[in-house]
Amino acid sequence: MARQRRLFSQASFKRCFLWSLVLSVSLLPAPAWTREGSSAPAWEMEPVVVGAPEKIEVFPSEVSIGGARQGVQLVVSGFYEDGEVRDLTRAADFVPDVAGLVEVRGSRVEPLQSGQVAVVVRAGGRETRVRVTVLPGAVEPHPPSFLFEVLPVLSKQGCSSGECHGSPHGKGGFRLSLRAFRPAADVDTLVNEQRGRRANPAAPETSLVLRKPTLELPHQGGRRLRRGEFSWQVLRDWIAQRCPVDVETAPRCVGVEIYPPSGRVLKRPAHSQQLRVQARFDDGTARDVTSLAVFTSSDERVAGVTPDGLVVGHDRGETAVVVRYLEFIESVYLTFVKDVPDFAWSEPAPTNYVDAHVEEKLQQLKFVPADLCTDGEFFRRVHLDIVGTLPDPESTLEFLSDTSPAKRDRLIDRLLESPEYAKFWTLKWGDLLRMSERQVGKSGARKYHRWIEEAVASNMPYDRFALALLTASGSTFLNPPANYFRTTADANDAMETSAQIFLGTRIQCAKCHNHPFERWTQDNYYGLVSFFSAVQKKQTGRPGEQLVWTEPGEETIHPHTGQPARPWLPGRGDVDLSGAGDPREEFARWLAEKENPFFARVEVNRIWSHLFGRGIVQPFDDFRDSNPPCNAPLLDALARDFVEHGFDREHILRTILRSRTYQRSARAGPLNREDRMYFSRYLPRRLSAEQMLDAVGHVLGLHETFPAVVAATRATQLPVPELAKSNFLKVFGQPQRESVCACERVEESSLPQTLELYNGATIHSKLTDPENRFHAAVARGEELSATIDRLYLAAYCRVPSPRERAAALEYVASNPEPGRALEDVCWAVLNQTEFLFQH
Amino acid sequence: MKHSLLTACCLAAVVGSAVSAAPHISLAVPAALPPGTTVEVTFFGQRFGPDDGPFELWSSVPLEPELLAVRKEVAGDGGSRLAEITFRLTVSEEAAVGAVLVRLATAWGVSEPLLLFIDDLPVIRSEAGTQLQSAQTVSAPVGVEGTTPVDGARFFRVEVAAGERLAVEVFGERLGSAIDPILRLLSTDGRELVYVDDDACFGADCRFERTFATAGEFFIEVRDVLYREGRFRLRIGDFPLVQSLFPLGAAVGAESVISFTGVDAGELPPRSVFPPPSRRTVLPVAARFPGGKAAALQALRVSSLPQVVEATPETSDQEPGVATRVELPCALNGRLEAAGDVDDYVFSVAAGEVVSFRCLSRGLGSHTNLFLELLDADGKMLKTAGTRNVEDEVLVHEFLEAGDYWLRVRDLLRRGGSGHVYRVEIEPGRGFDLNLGRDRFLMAPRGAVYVPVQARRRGYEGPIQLSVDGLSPYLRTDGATIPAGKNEATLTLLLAQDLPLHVLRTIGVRGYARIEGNDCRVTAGSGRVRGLLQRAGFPDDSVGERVFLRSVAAPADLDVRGRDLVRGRSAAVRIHVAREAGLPRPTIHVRWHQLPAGVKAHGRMRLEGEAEQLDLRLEVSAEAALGLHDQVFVELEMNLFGEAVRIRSVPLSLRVREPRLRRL
Repeated sequence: MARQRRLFSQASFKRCFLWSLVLSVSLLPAPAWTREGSSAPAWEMEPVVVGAPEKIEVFPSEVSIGGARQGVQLVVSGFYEDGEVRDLTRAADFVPDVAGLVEVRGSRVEPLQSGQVAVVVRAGGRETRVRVTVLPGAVEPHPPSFLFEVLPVLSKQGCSSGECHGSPHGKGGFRLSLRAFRPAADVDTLVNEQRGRRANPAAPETSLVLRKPTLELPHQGGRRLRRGEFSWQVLRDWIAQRCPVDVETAPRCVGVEIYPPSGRVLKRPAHSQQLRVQARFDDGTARDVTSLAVFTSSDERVAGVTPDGLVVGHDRGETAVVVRYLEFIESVYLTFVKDVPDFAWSEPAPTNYVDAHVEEKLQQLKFVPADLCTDGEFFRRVHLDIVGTLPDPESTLEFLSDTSPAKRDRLIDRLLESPEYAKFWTLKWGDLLRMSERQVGKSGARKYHRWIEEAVASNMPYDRFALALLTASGSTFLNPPANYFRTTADANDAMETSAQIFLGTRIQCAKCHNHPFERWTQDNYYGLVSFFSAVQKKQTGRPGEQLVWTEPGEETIHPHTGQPARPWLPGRGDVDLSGAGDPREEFARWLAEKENPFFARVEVNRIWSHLFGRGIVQPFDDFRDSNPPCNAPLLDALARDFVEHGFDREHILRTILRSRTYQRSARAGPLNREDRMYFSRYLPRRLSAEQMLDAVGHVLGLHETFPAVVAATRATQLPVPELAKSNFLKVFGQPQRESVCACERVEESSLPQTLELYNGATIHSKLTDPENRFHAAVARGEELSATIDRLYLAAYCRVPSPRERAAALEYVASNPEPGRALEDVCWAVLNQTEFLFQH
Repeated sequence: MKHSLLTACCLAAVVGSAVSAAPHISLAVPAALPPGTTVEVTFFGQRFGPDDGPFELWSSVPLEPELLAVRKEVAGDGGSRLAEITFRLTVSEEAAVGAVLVRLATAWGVSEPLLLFIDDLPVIRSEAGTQLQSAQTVSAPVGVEGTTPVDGARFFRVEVAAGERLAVEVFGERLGSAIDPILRLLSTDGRELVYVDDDACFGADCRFERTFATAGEFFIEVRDVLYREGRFRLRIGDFPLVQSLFPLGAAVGAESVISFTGVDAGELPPRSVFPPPSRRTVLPVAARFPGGKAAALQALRVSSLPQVVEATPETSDQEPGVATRVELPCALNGRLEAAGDVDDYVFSVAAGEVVSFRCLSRGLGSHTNLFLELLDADGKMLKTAGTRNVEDEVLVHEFLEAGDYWLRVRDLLRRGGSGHVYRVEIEPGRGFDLNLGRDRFLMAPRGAVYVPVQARRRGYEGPIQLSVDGLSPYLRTDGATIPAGKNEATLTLLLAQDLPLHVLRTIGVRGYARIEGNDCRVTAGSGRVRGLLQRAGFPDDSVGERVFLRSVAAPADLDVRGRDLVRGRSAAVRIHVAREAGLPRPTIHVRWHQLPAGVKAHGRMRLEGEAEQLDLRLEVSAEAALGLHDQVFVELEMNLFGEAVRIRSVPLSLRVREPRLRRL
């Protein structure tokens, strides 16, 4: 072992480097779509297994077509005896009972002549009829709507995306508004710029907007259109009709609807689902926009979706298909399951609602949960999660020898009452609240830290905690929550910070334009900023102190309109702030309402994430339609419980920690190995930087000391990152707290981490320190076996197996210097994943 | 000879020392002196020792200092030990509790000011350990002085009887210490019972009071929030916790009734004060429970302005109440009784009148961050004060039209309560304030001292004449003028050849201007001293109105003689400087002053290390001013550990003439 450790820098370095290179290349995500990006998915389509349905249904059951390009997507569902529902759209036959009135292309009905017809739909020996009315004049040629057809086509083909012409500076001199959010500007760009070459009514097919995406002319963005296909035809017809603009005159779209709605479970062999999208307009009309909508899947591993709205499942799991038409975004959640050989459910009754929801999902997806972890694993895990540090060998032995069935619950209670719990969870809040000397000053950081720690220690209800931060005024020294606004540069930053922390929403994109992937619009953004625009700050006579106050009447100017933005809250709409004192109070009141769909969910998800290494929504601060929870009922139940218990964080912690879900083993079995997100087992995760440093110090009995804090302060209890001038912490991803994003804390493993563990100065100096745990034991003549036992207890919360003990004893005995040999044994212990990971 | 030679004689006669720099005192033990006592106070610091006398201790109130001992600083392996000097100080029985500034003068200069307090608590020195087990046992009432340890805390053990009330407060920032102190009260098992940090009245310093239900032993912990080392003074006693006074100020020469605000205000009866005529702007007030042994220290602002005490009921922004009409000048004293309270005042001004409004709140212990709005009769906002990055802002406004105007007073954060008291001093008329850029200098025989003075104008843009009071036969000045529209000037003080050495003199710098037919006289003050006293809670403007001059022997001298210069030619100059043995060898900068137009000095103007000879060249242009120039002089500037010492040559006579025609 010693030889291995000392030679590492020569041979192992090269090997590790090469391995890391190989891994980094192999882990690059494979693109879901071809370079041309036109219409073909990269995966194969399997045939639909129709079987023998009890009945079939077609949606919509009755169709009215009012225009030549207003074809309708039909969706055929088969209902089976066992309650299963399958999408049979791809397998069904569609035959009009009268020829010449409509044409069915695939599963889409297109008008040919005015009149009424029934389309006979057959599948699996079943038959049903869809009544189709082609309204008079519907097939007369009329120009495509710029607003409802041309712009969606450009958006669907990706022309107005942020990577292409929708970027702030456009591409190749051609700049469209992002996702067609500014139609008036796009008219000018398409029709008037380039002396009409982009859209040439005199010779429509020579227009650049047709020739470039079809690659008739070089196009850096590759092929986006094919001559003659629907989108090409829309653009061509619009140009040929002299580019009519209906931005001001057309009825407004007021929303989109998707069929089937969320919740459909597709069980293999059923593995695909055709979607239909309908837009509603303010004149009361509706039309099928499936061919114009943009579809994306939140989890391509579970299911992909074609440009025509066909969702194809690949694996067990859930996905959200996000559908975008104009500025409207809706999601539909689909679950894909399959039978698993040898799957059998034999779990006892759930401990609490956490287990009930998790196990219901596992049963549905056919994952068998792992057994409960050992007492040693639980003892180690719960210490790391609640107080951040490893337990000492004596308390571990005491716990292991305790035979009481309630010992785990008692341990949870004891740890939650310990001061170390508040210190460790303050570290997590410190990350979120940008608690650093650079952000809030040296003294300010200490006072802010103390306030958070007291709030955690006293289990301040989360709504009060949020209210205190969001409405804080006064001296940043006398009223430390006021530092919340000290860390924000301006009202925009204050709103973005608040949205990310308390709404779990990354709303920054909507600052410059409507959010390209979410519902947030630019109006929403500035409407929310209005609640923070009154915040003012100034320096005081005391170095490092700031005074925060509000000056009601300060308005947020919408950069697009130049007018004051209307205060707006999600779910409530425009808010009248006239006469309100501090507008932040209105925001905070709304935020902490029990009905708020974000507030409680975001916090319970954050707590869950801290305990499991991943959130029910992951990342935990990125709630959005396109990032659905992996177990929505569980999230809802936790949030409901949180609200009902007065936003009591310790109650939620206790509830989760007591669940079987939390206490499951991290060992994967054949029936849950594939599960990485449904909590059928505990997912091991690397110790955080601070935990790692403390753990190394703990195992060796040599804790790191830090300046300007009380002597026994651990790395997990540091108020600010600046106090630790430790390369070890940097390498393992200690955040500098520059942003509120959880992503600033690096959790991935890296080559420098390996080097640090192999030969780093921190490890090396502690291993060779004569005062460390095992050198001291040798010096006082402790029995070698006992020393090794204590080493294992300190590192893993278990005694070594007979084999491990024998190997270590043999190695030490073969070495003329027992102390040096123990260094090697300890080095090996520290480099095991069992030590490096929380499991 | 084509070139002439100026020669310099070397003259130097100074007595040397190994220290040769202005002293620095950082700590006094004790730092508080009970009235009516004689106390031996040891000052700790650097850059002084037994050989650096004569010593002199200046104080802002009479302390009758008597030197007892001096011990030099010692450099050791484990760090240097501070120098010590001990004086016996006597505080009169009548001395008011409050802050006192002291400065130590040695042969080599005068120190920056250090704060002492006159306090009625007996003083002991901290011997507390950094663990509960090594806590120092103290008995109330007591004042404990010590330093917080690096990365640790000091612990004190107190024993209390059942029902006993103890007040505990710590001075850190108010002593000028760098620490931001924290106080904790702990049970014997280390459980935290009280934690206080910062105080709305005293900033970084904090305090608490507790009535103990049961008798027992408790621990008081003192530390810095950042675990830094620094001075502190811990007061433990039965004094009341007072926030501030109401009204915050009183008129000189008139009786005023003041009351206290704070948690214990209810047990403190109002009190009459009669501020005597004085230059002081603050009157210390001690708050003590009837029969109490210890007092809380508080400051009352005093001025000659007529006093107005707010009497309007509570009003708010939305429903403006009745404004109080006031005549200018005056000092408004009010209280923002409840959150959102707004006090309105109305006053009349003449067209073109300039009025200054000085906010006073935080500096006198009030909780309020004062915010002023100046409105015209139509309610139109003219100006505001209170949002800039300064405490106790001054709002200056020139009213273009005669009429009634409103002054609206509120808390910036719209708070209110008994501690939200304020004072606004309103003075019509254009004027100015003067600030001393520096307030301590070294002066050497035949030397010069340059005193930078800055003006802050209030509607007056004309010239300001600067003069000095406290001149002597050895010290003269021609005065100086801050030009119209400018804000800075340097006042030059010239020292006589026979200036006695090791004398500490203080002078005042006055500014004068005739403004709108009135004489305006202002004394320049030190912003640094003002800040120190403000932090101490006793913002007496008059204390900083002195400039300190310490006469020292210069480590070099020169004597230069004049001669003739010829147009179009250059003259070589060799200057010899004698450096006195046993004195430092500072770099000497040579500067020529009042050279005739067209004559420039060239060459190296600096003498370093042991160098005692400097060769210069005077370049005389063909257009140089002809004739006799008898006010030229050479100045040597030497920097002694950051303190500049300048000496001048006697005036030289330089005659510039045309070249003589050479006979062919």
